[in-house]
Amino acid sequence: MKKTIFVVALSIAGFIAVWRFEPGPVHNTSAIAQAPPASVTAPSTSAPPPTAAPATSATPSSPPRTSTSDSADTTVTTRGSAESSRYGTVQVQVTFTGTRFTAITLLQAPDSGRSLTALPRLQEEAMQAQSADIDTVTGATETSESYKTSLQAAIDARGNR
Amino acid sequence: MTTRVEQVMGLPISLDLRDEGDFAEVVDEVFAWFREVDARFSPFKEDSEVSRYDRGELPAAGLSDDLLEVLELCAYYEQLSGGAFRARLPGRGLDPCAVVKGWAVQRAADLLKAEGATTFCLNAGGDVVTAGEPEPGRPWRVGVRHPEQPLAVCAVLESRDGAIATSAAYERGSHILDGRSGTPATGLMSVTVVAGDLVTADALATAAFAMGSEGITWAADRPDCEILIVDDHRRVHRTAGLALAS
Repeated sequence: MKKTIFVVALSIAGFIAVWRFEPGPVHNTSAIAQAPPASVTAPSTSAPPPTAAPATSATPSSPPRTSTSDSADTTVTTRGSAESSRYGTVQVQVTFTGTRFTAITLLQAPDSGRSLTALPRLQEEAMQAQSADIDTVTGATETSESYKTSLQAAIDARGNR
Repeated sequence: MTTRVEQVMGLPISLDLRDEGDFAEVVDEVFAWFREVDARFSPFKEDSEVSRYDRGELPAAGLSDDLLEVLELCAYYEQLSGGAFRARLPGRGLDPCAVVKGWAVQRAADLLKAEGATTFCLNAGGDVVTAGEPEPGRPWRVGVRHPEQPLAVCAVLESRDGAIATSAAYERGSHILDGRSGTPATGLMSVTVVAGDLVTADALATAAFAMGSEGITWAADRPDCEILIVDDHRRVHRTAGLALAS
């Protein structure tokens, strides 16, 4: 299948609106929201751009998103260029599955050194990990009763065979 | 290869040791250590060191190095979390369980390593310490329990010589209290922290859970850990450095 190339341009202002829509402000996004609109341009699907993409910060254009629609379920991750504002440097990474965005990562935020991904929601379909696929389970398994029916008990039983 | 599961300190503890050779004696020592910790540090046992200390029955000079270490860790994480994590809540006795668990399990892992074990996974009530790799080139695969489905996982993490701890309220209800208000912590479904040692992972997971939604950025801003947090709105927050299995 032909490799899909996405070209995505999102204005920070537009992005922040999306970011703040349902999730609570994970970072101090209120400061970012007041930043002058700058554009975040994602020229390719892989590595971050070596230098800042043309910063059309004065005139955020409508997102010219182009895609070859050969697969509705192709997952594509694009990374915007790092844009500096008077509040600090902001860089986002957006993951699309088909035409829907499934994750936004704030790679650089003015008030935090760490990047944090907020997936829109816990996957409805939990991963059907069979005990054969994992070696152990982390979780709050705090009673002997709950242990008996846990995935960890199944893994332990396998080891004791 | 040795596997053993025992119920100690009120927790199911599983050891999966992959080294060749006879480790029966050191494995006995490990589980004896857990029983010793239970006897000395449980706030639910009247004659434990912790209970006697709390009643003022131990002279300052009579505190063991272990108890001093635990108390210091409690004070450290209380300060770090702005009081969200608290070993002594108003009107309640000293309860250092949240620190003792990670501390005791990490100590057990260190004991195994000191006795020559290189490849094992030790799981105490869902808190995990790993050493080495179960197969050459393959890290340990640690499933993160789905907060809503006991038999499903919501992520699989890779771990080599590391520690992973999870705090959640899905097992015993809202038993983790926000030390700042004294009321049950709200806002998060589960907090999983990956760190180099289980003392750090367990304490940060408990503290972040106690803080509620503020705990997300608080934990993410700690330099020595990676996080995977599911909030009450079923959103998943994770740091970029988290080692997700492909």
